[in-house]
Amino acid sequence: MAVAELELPAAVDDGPTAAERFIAGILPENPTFRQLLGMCPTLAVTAAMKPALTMVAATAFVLISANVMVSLIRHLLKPHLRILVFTLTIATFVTIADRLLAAYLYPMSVALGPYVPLIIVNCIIIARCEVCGSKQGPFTAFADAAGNSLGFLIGLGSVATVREILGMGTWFGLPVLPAVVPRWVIMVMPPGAFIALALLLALVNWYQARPKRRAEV
Amino acid sequence: MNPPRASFFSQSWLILLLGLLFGGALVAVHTNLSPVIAANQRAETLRQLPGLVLPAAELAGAEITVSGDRIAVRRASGETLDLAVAESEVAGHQLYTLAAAGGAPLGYVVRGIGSGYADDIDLLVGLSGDLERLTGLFVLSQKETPALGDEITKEPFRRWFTGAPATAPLVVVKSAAEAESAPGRVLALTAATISSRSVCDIVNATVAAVRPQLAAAASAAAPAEEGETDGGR
Repeated sequence: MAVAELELPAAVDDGPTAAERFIAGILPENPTFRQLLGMCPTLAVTAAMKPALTMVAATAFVLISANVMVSLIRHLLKPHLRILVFTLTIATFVTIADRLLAAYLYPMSVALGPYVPLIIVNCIIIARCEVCGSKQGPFTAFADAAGNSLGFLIGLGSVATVREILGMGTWFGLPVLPAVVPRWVIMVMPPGAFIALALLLALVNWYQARPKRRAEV
Repeated sequence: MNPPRASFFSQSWLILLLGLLFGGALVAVHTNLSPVIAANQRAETLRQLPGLVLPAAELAGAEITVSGDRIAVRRASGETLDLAVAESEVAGHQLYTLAAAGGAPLGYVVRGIGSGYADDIDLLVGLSGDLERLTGLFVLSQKETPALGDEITKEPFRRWFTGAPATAPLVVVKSAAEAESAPGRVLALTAATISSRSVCDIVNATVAAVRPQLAAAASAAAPAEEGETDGGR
């Protein structure tokens, strides 16, 4: 088959609007709770709120930058080389985010360790480049990335909130539980991440199923 | 059919162009941020020095601030201890000499790097001013197995090094009773014996390389100081 036949279909903004993309990323297609993407940081850096929010900020920077960049060059992409271009773009912005953290938030950079470079393999970013960035204009790509970043913030923030409060009795390092309440140390350990995520996923699924059950009754 | 070379460029020109652009952007970021990152790393290293030389009781609740080659230790009582740091290289190891302002060395901190289970382990070892004992251990960087080997960074493992003799190599043992029986024994971490041994090997090699030279320098300096004192009489 000739290469010309493999060209991407004309990349026109005939998909969802920017507002629809933005809203979909926050709750209806939440990357953590609805798509189950980006599980590595969700489990690894949510023992407390501060590292979780730093990870969200770094991921948002990469997601927005890479999605807009891919959108700007979408007419030049060849289908069989697009993943290579996505990876090259994402890796560049991840390296910039990693260096910025090491320069201006050094303690947090040390605390997050290898998980910042690992943003390169975060499925949320490559998924958004594939689904939206490579098909729609820069404004829609920006809105899509911003919506998904907010969705990721909700995902990591909720898991970290459960873990930090139950595990250490604090939120953002500030005490919120009286000293008499026993701390569940397991919540700040690796199993606590799975437990917190499972409970929150169950809660989200239960909430989503409610209207359906009511309709069936 | 296109000639192979023309086909290669027509297929890959975008990737080559992006590679050049992104490479240039990364060079600019690296050039601008490297000095800031290096300063952060140095400040972080210097911040650990008082804890590796001074007794833990003296540092309880203390606030440590670094400014250039000076370290200020503000104790909970409000008293401030001003420390001067001299950096040098001895036997290929980075050496930090810590002294109270205008006083004799309080102790030394030596940087040691060696192989761990997963990657290199970079650590700081504290040596007392008389070079007779170790005064602390801090792991600057490591990539040991999470929750197993990375326990080398935590106090329960590091405490075995504080007060251990610097005159003989440390020995890794596997029972707590054996570790408590004599100084200079280090209790291996459960399921992380290789990481435990690696740390001990790095400490032993670092101390063995640096201590004789520091002792020689100290004994050479002693008569000179004595002569100056005699001359002053």
